[in-house]
Amino acid sequence: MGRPQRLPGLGLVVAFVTTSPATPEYNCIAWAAGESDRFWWPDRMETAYWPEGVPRSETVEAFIQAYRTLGYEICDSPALEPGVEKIAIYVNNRVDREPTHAARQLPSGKWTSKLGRAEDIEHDALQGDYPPGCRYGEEATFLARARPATED
Amino acid sequence: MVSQVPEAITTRDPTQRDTGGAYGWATNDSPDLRWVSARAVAELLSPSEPCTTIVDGYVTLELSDWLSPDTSTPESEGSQKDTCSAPSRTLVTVGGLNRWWKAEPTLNCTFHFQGRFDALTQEWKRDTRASSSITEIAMHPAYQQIIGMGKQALPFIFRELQEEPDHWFWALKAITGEDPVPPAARGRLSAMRQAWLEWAGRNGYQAWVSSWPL
Repeated sequence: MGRPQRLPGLGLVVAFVTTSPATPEYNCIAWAAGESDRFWWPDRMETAYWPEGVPRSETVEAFIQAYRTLGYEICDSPALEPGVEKIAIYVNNRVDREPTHAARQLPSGKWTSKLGRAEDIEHDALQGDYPPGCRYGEEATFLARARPATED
Repeated sequence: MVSQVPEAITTRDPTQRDTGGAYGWATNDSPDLRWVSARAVAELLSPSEPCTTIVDGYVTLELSDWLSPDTSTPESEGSQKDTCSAPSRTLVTVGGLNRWWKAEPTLNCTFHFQGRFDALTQEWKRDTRASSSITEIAMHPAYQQIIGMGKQALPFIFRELQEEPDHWFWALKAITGEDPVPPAARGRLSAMRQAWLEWAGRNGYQAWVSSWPL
């Protein structure tokens, strides 16, 4: 953890750094919301946490509503802005464009992501920096709120 | 890599008599299946009345009255209560299963069931490791096949859940039709795991859970 990883035999340094051990206790949606003790997802089986009053629907709109409960609002771009914390919501490339992933911007401008039930990583770009096997589609929506004072 | 279902059972006749298999022993000689015998037998005997204990690495199996007497069994070998001990980490030998073995050929099925469950679990965990979507995780074909196993999958799911928390809750709800998890605990794996293991205890699975050596 904590260092760029070299893919064996390829001489390549991948553009992400793992920052936590693998755990199924939380996922990227929770991690983007700043939580690491429960799994967020609007599953209709109601096994995961989802903010009360927000539809359990796997749509971008429902995810935006979920993050709105924490003070986020839609913004135009992922560009780093002082004092602003941003989240990117990814959707799949299918017609339904269901949410697949979320990443949160750090004060440095890098992004932090939880990879499903695997590790957290820190990465520079929103695309192209994920480990092999991660198929999250494309970022579709950006959200922003005032960055909590303790993180600046 | 998906593990192959091993040839878990061989039968032999310790009396060296021609018994047509009726007095054979069921032997599990696969290290990958070292706990299967005890669970498989306990499951088929009675989940609510555990009859299998594991002490110091030995399996003791007591056949219960659940089994109907086999009048063709010689008195010396046909008692209603048989005990067999073997080092369970290397070889689980279940003896005295003559009548049951004859009456319930599903022993083989149960052993293979365990192998299939383990293979599907490996496949599911490998393929969904990077997914954050509970729906995608639960809709994986391997996970759906485990749900399709029905209540027979429950002991194995509880064993997995005891060993490490993971997203078995969708399957448990689908199979049992119940949900012992309080709404406030949704998404909190430790609390959900605890609620389900307590449910397992209330429904006759706890004896297995507590007796499964790790």
